[in-house]
Amino acid sequence: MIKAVNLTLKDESEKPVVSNLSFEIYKNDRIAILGRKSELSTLLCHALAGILQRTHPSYSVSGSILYAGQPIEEIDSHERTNKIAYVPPFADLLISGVKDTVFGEVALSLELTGIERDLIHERVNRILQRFAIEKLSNRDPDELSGGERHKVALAAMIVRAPDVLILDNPSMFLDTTGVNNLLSILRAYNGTIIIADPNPYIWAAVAGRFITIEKSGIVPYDSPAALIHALEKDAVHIDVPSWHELLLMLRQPLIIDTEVTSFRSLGSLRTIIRAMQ
Amino acid sequence: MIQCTDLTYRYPNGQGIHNINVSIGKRSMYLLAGSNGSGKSTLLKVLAGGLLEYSGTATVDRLHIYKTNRKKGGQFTVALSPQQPETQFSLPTVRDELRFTSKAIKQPVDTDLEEKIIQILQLSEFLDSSPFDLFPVRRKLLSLAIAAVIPSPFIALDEPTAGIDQEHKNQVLEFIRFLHTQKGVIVVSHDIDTFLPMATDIGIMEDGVLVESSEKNIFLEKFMRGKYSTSVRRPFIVPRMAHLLTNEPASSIGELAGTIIGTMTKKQRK
Amino acid sequence: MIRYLPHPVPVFLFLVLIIISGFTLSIEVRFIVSVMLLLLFTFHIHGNKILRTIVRIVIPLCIAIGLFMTFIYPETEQWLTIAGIRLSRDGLTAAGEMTSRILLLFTGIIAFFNLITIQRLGSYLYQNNLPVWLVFILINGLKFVDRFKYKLSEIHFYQRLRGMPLENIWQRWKATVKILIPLLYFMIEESSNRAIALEMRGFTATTRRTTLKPDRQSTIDKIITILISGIIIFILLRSILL
Repeated sequence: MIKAVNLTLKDESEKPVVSNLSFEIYKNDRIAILGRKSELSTLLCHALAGILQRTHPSYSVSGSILYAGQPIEEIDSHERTNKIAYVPPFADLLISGVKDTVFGEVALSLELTGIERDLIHERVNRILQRFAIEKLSNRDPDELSGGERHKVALAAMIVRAPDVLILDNPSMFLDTTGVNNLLSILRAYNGTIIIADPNPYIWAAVAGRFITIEKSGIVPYDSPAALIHALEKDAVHIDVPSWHELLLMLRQPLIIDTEVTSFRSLGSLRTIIRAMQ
Repeated sequence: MIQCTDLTYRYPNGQGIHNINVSIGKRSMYLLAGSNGSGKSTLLKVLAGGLLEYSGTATVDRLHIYKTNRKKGGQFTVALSPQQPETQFSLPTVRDELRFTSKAIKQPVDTDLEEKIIQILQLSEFLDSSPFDLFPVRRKLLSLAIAAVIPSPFIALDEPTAGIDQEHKNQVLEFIRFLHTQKGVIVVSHDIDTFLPMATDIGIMEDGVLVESSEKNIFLEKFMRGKYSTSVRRPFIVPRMAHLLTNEPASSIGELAGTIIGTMTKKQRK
Repeated sequence: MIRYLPHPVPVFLFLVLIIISGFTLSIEVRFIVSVMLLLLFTFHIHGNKILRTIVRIVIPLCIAIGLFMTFIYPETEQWLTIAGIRLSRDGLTAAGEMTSRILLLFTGIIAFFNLITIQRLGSYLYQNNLPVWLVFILINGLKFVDRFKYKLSEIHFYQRLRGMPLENIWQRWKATVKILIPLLYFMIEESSNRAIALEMRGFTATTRRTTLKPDRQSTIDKIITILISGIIIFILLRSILL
């Protein structure tokens, strides 16, 4: 679906930040980008969303990213945004303020695509409920707190159900309930998800494949097993303080949907503590 | 110390904080948690003297907040760093930004403090570059540093780890631990996992009301006994430890909690 | 307190009525209408605030212009002499003409913005097939002053918090550049990021679109619309016929 071919990015000083990267993303893939530098994961997200040349005009790009066989920057911008949605870390700016209610703001995303009215109501209500912000639906988006606005922006992007959803640091301003709701939405999502977030909890809960940003370069892993294997052999140089936490989570993913259900037993906890020590 | 009685602040739309009663000790590390829109940031802004039309009383070291407002030439009480770091950037270099406060109040620069902060946050190689040339993560670090050099008895940090990547998170934690040796620290964060081990007191806000405020041990004990409704517990449920606490018999929980907190702290010190 | 929020159509007509009457009605009627509008504001939720702005800005402006016109007007027929200053009847009329017009227009425009929320205006424009980016620009243009003020107060607060002296005018003047730098940064940064963000929201769409809930006029709105249209037609006819 999305294919990177020999992608190389150089910054202003001609220093390569990404060199010769090739990977392929298939339909309904769940990919986590993990790494030590948020600049780099943001850069990669922009490249995958086809907006890199506008956000980083001083960077030189060689190689290409193809969406359905077509270079991503050449696709008509409207068509592209209908298929690929990129949610920036400061999602706040996604709120246009054109509508006077949260409901209207979220619905605007669907109105623009020309979907029937009844369907809009249904889909907007559903997404607001799943983010647990239905009680905000009649409030003015300008009067909400930062975290609430973040949820509204996420809802407004996800409600359009794009084929590819790229989330850049979505958990930054979300409370725990917000993160849980987001995760349960993402798990049920019918489409490709690319998520860059420093929180290992999110990687473990959503991702099936991983792209790690290591000191030596960017390495794709095709399954949690592959990453676990590499982590155990100490072959992953992502320098993430919580990498062993990640390892634990990959081994025993928690069930998150409504509330965390169980940690199995005291015994398993002791193993974890031992592992942490 | 910070002392609030019946502190109330309402925005024109009726939202805000209501009847906050809290006292925060001189050397505490107060972790303020709560869901989005529960009024945590509003409380910080009131304490820092940004929203003066409050009712009730709020004092820092016996000084009323409205008297401490810098507009009226008051003294520094609660330093607060803005959510958008660029709000304070107005000078040519990072060093100028760090020395701004001492220059403004005509005091000699506390070089030890400055150096220590620069060292912890690893800003030394950027001292002569413009703050706007920094990457977003370092801008955030700089804004934390700017708040830290203000000679105030308290510092409040609103989501200090938001927007901080793994590479820099440890620096921020170390920075907060260092600040805690110097002054009272108030941290607002959703990242309970990270801050619970180092906190001394915990407050939980819900719909503009401070529903809980106590020492960590007392809080954990209450928590274990299942005193709180699920809505209060929710922010603490996902953290692996806290959930566990609710399912196990009290005796083993105390021990376990101790172990986990101990390990976490140890782990972070490394 | 009245919590009736009128539909954009009668509010627009109201604005048209105010502008037309500013040019056609006689001085006395204009003053009477202005006073009636001012009285209406006392029923408004933010009535005190609105009246305060009018008392502080509009009325001093009217008085200044009135005095200016009265004394500067080219002398035609001497009418009154007070302490050596001569007043002319024409000058007084011109002053009345001018002040009544300003008072009426200002109160009318202030009333307009308080009768309608900016977003409702936006929803209405969107519903009438204005391109969504244009609606966005219009709405945010109208909100600009508020956002600017908010951002400025934010910068003032945080700069003051770290010791920047901003107590008197001289200190504020010296700090202008330091305040302007972050302000400009936000304006530029926001606008460039905004463009991308809105593209991501699908604002470049040119395809068919639906509207969620057409903002239709209620019975009261319709009655008011008819009434105002009637008055407008009456005024226009009268000024044409006379």
